[in-house]
Amino acid sequence: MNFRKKAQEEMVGFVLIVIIVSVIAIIILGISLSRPRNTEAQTSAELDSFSSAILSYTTNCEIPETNPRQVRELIKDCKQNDVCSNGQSPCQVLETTLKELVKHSSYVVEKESYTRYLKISVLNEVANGTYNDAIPPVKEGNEQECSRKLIDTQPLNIGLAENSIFKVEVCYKD
Amino acid sequence: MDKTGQLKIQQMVFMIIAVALFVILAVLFFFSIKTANLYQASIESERDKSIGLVIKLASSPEFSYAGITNGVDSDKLMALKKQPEYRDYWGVNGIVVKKLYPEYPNIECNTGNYPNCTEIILFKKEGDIAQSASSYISLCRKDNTGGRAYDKCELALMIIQTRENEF
Repeated sequence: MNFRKKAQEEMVGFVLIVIIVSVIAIIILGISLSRPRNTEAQTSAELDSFSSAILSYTTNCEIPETNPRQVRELIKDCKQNDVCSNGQSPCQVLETTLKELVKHSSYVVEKESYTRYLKISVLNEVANGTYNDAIPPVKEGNEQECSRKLIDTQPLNIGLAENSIFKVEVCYKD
Repeated sequence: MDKTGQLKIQQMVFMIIAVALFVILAVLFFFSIKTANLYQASIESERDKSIGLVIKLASSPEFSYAGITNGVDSDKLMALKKQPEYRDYWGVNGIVVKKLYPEYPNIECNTGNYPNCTEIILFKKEGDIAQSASSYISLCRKDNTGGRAYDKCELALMIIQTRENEF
């Protein structure tokens, strides 16, 4: 009888150990799955080529006495509140053009698309490493849906500020 | 007493096996996740490498447009289209440039419809779509407005069909 009771105690102890190990395993698994994935931005050759192509794109905005403006030049015109010869605002043309360029690329943000978020911004350096938006950024999608982020920056030597950059951020959901 | 000792040893062996199995499963789980990330990284590296090849071709003097980063001269492309002897010069199976924006009629470019067309096919190997790489470019040409010449650049995609084991 005594021997039987001891065996029962041993079994209870064993079951307890199994339960404790299982609970620990489930907790570790839960933490590793719920931990946000590494969303640290990476660079990409494809995004870099897209970004360069955007900046060189010739828009339909002509500032009097100049040629039709490229996106790079239009950024400066927008900041200086110039007016295109057809009466449109350079900022408006810039926004429409950027949206259309994105729409015709693989970075289009749609319900079924792989790209979940895109942001194009022009930034001026205000202090060491601190940047402010020079013009309102163009945003598509929801940043919260991101699990992998790509980023590209191009220096803009257009006399906007000491250091101004053109930045394209794209993110995907795996 | 001897029997109790044996039972204890059996129990310990069983426990050790269970713990070892658990550790093996955990290690396998960890490595499967690591390997998946490695696979994704290798795909991205391969993609960047193929894009590098397109960029290298786009920046060659036969294609490049002076003064525009990543710019390809569409007039040069149209001139090269008529030169079949250049086909082997590039070391690829095909070079196609497709305009993305602004939109034009979806037709192949020839001397009759250029520049109001979408696709400039320098040359391509029919049916070979397995090995291709593409990259965004600025497709530029000289245009004029009010008697003034200017650089007109559009968004385009340069697609190259690579030869086997090119990457």
